[in-house]
Amino acid sequence: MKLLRLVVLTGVVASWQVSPVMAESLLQSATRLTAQAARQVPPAARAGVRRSATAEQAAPAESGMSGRKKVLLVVVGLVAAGAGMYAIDRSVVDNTPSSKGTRKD
Amino acid sequence: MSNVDVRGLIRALAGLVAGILLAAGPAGAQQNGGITGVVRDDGGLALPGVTVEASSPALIEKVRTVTTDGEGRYNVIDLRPGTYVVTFSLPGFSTVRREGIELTAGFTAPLNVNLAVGAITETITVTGASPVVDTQSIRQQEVIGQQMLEALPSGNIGPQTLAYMTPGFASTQADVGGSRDTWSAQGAYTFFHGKTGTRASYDGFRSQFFIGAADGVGYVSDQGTIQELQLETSGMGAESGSGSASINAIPKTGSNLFSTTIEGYYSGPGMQSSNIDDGLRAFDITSSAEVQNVYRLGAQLGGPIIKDKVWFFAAVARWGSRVNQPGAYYNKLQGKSGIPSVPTIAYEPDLDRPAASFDWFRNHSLRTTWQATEKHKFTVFGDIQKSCRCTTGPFTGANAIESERGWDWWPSGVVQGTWQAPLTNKLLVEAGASWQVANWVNFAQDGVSRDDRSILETSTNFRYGATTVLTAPKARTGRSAQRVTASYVTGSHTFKAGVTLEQAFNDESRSRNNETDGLNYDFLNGRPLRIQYQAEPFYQQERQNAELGVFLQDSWTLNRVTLTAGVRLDYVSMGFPAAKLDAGLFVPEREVQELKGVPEWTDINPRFGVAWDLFGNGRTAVKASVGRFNQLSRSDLTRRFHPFSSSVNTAFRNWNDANGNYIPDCALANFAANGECGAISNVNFGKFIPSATLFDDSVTKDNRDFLWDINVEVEHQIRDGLSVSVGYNHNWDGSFTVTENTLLGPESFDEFCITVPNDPRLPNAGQQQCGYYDVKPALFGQGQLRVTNAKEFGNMQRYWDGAWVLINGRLPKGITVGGGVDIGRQVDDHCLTVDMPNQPNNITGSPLRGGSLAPAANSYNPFCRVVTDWMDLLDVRLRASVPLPWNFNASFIYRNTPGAPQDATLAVTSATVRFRDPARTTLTTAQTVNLYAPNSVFGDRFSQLDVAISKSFDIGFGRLRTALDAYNALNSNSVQSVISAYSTRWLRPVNFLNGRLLRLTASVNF
Repeated sequence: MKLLRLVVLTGVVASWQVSPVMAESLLQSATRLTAQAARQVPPAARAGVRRSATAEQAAPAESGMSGRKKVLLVVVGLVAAGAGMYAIDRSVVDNTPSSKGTRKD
Repeated sequence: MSNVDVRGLIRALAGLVAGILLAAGPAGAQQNGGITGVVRDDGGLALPGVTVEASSPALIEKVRTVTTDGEGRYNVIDLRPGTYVVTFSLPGFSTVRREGIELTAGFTAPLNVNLAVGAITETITVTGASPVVDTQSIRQQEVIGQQMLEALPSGNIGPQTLAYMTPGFASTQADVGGSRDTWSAQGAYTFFHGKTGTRASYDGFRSQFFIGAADGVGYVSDQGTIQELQLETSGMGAESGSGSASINAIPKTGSNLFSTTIEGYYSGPGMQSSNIDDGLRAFDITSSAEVQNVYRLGAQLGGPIIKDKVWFFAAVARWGSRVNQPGAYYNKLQGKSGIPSVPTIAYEPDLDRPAASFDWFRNHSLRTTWQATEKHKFTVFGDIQKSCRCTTGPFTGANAIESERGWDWWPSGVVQGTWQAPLTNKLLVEAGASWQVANWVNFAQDGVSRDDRSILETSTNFRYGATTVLTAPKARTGRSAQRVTASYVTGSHTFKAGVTLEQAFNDESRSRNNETDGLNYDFLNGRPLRIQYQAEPFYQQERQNAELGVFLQDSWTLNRVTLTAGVRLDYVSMGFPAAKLDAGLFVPEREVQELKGVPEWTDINPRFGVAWDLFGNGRTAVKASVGRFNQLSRSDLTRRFHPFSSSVNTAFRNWNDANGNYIPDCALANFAANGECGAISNVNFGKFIPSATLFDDSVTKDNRDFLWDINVEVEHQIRDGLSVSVGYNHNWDGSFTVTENTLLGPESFDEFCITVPNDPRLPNAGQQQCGYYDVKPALFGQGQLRVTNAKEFGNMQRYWDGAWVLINGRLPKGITVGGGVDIGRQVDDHCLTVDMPNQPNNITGSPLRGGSLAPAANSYNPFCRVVTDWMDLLDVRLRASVPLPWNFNASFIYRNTPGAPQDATLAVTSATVRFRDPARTTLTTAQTVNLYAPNSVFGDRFSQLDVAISKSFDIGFGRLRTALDAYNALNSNSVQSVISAYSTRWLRPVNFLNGRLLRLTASVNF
């Protein structure tokens, strides 16, 4: 649990350290997205596709949320995912020789 | 960094890359898309000099520009998948802007426009359906993008996902919602239309391990990094290297927008139904697979580091599964014999301890894209992973779990880099390099001591006690690849030339679980029958010093016809390094010197094709292609020549355990009959005889296996966004090899007959069936092997004829459909006599069996021509995704494919056979024989329906998507393989579809 707390704390501290730069960038992205959305192709133009739908660029929705909050959201999300993965690593049965230190190669 | 510095760095890097590539060699580039067409004025006259700009958020360089040629043609190539806007401008004419052109990998969209006289500042925006018929490419391909991968119940997404949905891929072990171990599941794409060896790539670089046949998966990709999957099944161009079909995963990149995704899925106890019915109960199968957990947690973060300059995409994931296998239990008697040298002699299921398949994966990857200057773009990708395939995978009680083994991968991973440069509007250069490595070893299952032995009960083919062999203590494999291609594009011509080069290595030791003498045992009805020897220690290294490909190809568009002609030189040289092995209990010290050029093959592979835009409207294309392809390069090409392998490494001796103590009371190192032990089955066992197997030059220099593939297809757009294709395929293999025992001939064998068991399910039930052979006793164990071309003895054949109808695209209301029907007929004919009449051995010395759709049974048979008929190979696969109100979406994948082969083999002894020569009464050893031709009888058809219901939510700061997937929604228990050994367990399912599995999926994207 100590490591988990450390990960969370590191994430929160990191978010405050990088937030001014990243917030600006995220705000620009959101603005750009809005402008692009206004130019989106009409539905009729999107009818054709070759054997599958093409991947669409994932994009944050326009929420009116401040840049700092968005950054915090990203950091919290990633830290939560990291904590989840750490928990998985701790709970999965690891009987591999590499983890046991018994490999002879 | 200044521009000058950047350019200097680029020149240095480019020089380095080019130097490496030109000094050495190749690989197959991924197939990006393109846009092509003709620009005319309102009077229909071609307009030269029109500036054509293709722009998309998918391009870090934002826009690619070309101009039309003298015939008004233009051709923009090598475009990443995405949605494009194309503008056409020429002074004196209004600018035309065409929006919403959706490109998938490998798809060239035809786009013709007319420009009207007017001011260039006047822009006419044209919208319409995106083209769906590629009227220029001769490839037959399928592509599935991220949106569909997300919408469909795709299980654990990997290179196999597209093969899973594509009619014509041979049925393999099915995955129900990720409950099959990932490594096995991701490698399920080997056979298409009877062709062996599909090339699997990640970002255009081959990702398969250089181990054995090298046709399974190698680098196990994180599904969170995959943007599209692209499958080419025929009509592949000269840029395609070895392999009969090709699957490529196209990775995600960052973009100018930050994007974060956290996603995962879960299924657990209580979310799977039992699918046991009376049919399974009749085989004493009373439990179905029970998921303990199937899980995934992934996170991806992408965005700009510097806008329009440097993008990144990072992904981390954890996933795995633990699934109790039907009818599989730990052995209650494991280690309980009381005999120190054989701790386990019998198997009794411990019903309180169900056995599970179990695996987990940890991936950590980062991709960066750097648009260094206007014309130079670099990408670098790395993924480091630790993984455990902790038990072999689905084993379904066919063997005891103690006879399975685990795989420990650490460290493993891949590093890739590419450079792309549209140096001019007409010249595009691309280069790349990849390095992949896996350090892996096998380990024994829980409860297995290193005194335990692998025991095969031959009457039922049931193995227990310990695994047959461990690839341990050392195992390491790797592959590196380089490629450089140059494309020169005019309006009418797309000329492409390139060089690809790959090197690979494989180092692996093999050892038996028992560390004392390494002997395994065969039992018959619980009593000792044979002792199985293996030469230990064993450590072998294989090297692919070079697989070089040099290709030239031109596509020439003449009015409505595009001719494609290409030629590819494929050169491969393999070998092995010097090595020394210590003496073992049964073998002397062994030493080999480094050897290169075994084999060393050079092939010229021509590829031709024509695509005809039938009506000139881009809606109907007639395509035909013919090409020659080499089979996948793989480590067993050189393994067979290595003296450590070509010596006799395994042998057996009969064991009459007269005193019933389960200990072979004889001098084990004395290979003459003594005590309870018979003579060794091969007199060369226990000797180091590099010349025990000789290889003709026809094999080492001239005999690379190849394939001819002929394809004819009509593709028609039946409505906006929807196309149908109808086609025919014929393919055949060449360059077969056989192993001859030069000390034997047909006269060295005595024919014997068996009485077919009196079972109405068997042809000739109760009757005598002859055509089986056993070597004369005086010649038993004699061997001097020679590997040569099968043509020396007769005409060996493998060919396929097949046809298909496929549909793909969109229906009204956003409904997406795909799939179709595929039907074929395969003939395997090896009716030629090398030693035993009509029953030749393949290059590894194992008996040929005919039919390539199921694992080989190591048994001889008089059935040397196997015809797998049309209806037996009928294959139907459909998929659809339907948007519903309130942001719901429903989708399904349905597969109805050929049933499992139901072969029948019989273990025979002297007491159960009758020789035609009445003077002879005994077999040299117990044999396993086929009762009828393998791959000629099939069980009930395989059927699986997977469905998914999802809903998307706008959560203010992003999008939340939740889904409930029901895999095997009809709770089918379709059988995928059966026990072929005739006994009370004959036709007992070895693998059947796991029961209905509910799985929850969620993703947050912001």
